[in-house]
Amino acid sequence: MGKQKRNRVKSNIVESLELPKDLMYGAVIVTVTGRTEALIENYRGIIEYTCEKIRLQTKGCQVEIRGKRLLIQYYTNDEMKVTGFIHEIIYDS
Amino acid sequence: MFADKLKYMQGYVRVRLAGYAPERFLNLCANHDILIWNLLYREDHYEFCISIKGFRKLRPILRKTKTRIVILQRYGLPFALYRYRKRKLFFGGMAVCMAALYTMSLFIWNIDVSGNLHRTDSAIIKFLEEKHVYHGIRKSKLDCVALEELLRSEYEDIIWASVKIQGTRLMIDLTENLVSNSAGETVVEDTPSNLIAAKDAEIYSIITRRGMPLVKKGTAVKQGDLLVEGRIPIYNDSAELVNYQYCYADADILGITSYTYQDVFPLAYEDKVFTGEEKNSYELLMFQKQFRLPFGENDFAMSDTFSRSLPLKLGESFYLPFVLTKKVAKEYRMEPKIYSKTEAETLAGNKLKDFCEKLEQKGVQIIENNVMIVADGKICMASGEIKVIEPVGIRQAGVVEDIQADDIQKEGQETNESDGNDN
Repeated sequence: MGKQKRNRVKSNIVESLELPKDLMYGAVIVTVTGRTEALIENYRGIIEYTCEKIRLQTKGCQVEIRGKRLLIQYYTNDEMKVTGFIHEIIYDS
Repeated sequence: MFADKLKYMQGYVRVRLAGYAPERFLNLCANHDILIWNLLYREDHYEFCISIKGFRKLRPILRKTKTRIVILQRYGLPFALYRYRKRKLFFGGMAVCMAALYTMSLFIWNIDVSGNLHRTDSAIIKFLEEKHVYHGIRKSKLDCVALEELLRSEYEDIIWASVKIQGTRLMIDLTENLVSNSAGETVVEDTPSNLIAAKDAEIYSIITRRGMPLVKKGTAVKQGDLLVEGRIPIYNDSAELVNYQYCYADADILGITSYTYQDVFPLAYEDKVFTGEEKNSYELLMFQKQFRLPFGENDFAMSDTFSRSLPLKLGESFYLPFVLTKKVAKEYRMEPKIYSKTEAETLAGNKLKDFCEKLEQKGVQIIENNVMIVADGKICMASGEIKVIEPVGIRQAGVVEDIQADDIQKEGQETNESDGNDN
């Protein structure tokens, strides 16, 4: 209950002050360009990577990108660019 | 693009990663700020690119994650330099090239003049050459401020000059004073002058703006006759000449003049027929000396030669002392031919038309054309007279005669004398 209340207060503050949500919640940002390129920001780490599947840990959930010939063009501590043919993007909690 | 160049300059390797926990390895790399790119999954291993600097930091991570790494390929400048380390001449050449580039950048290789409307570029560049500012001068020898002053003091109509060095170019920006140019012309109009007839004519119209007109419409004048006088006599009440007022005579005078046209040519002529044989030869002008390149000798009996010169230059106005000339010799032979009557008449007609067009270009209006074209026997003859209306007045500098003072004095003396006689 205490955690839920804290979350509600935080979201109220963020909403009323119009603070950027990705910074305040540490939320993942997935920018997909067409079917061939995805930019994932605010991720925590790589859990699994094969040509068909990339599984990433983010703050609240795991993001899984499924596709064909997936290639990580580059990745840094908080940003990753994936190219290839993307079939689906799945959010697991 | 720029990032790719940077990576190449710093050097990178493509490696194969295999072992117990490769994903953990990748995460640790990210945490240690080691950039990894083009990461690709193969059957049982990963392949990726990593900079040399990053590669050196990998050892503890490899040990921690129990993975092994194999270098597949090396890319970049550091590896290339190492591979070609024994090619001393190559590095020497590179150093010489750098030195040459630096040395060349110490000189002015192009002079760019802009903003000049009345003065030509070449005139200004020639003037600068006289003042020892030329293509190829050392940049350190140039004093831009002094050059600006020099330009302003030399040319009165240049009211603003800016000289600056951009790279190896000398940029000269000028602004000319357009007002003073027109003012200069008005000064000339102050000197007294007359208008005289340029040729024999009958006056068609005369509109005088300033001066004393001496002719009327319909007057026949001879060459050199005075048409408008710049000296206006001033009479006193008793119609005696008191003084002259001098002015710059100005009038539009049109006169009817006639041109005699005579053109005779024989019907038989020789025509140039090109055989189609051509020969090319080349010449090289080097430091004002002509060199003939040893091929393409011209051995035709009769030929026309067409030359085309290609001066070598750097930039727009820096000419190197080399000129390549290409000469094409085209062989021809002469064939005797005879004009038919109609051909001859059209030829004569065309010549007459050219003559008339040339006249009209001079601002002349043709009013009568009495030229007859006759082609018979062996010659074609066109002769006659063309009557035109054209401006006939030309300027003649007037002489200021200072007679009135003498006359008045003489008159005064005469009256005194007469008075004395009476007494």
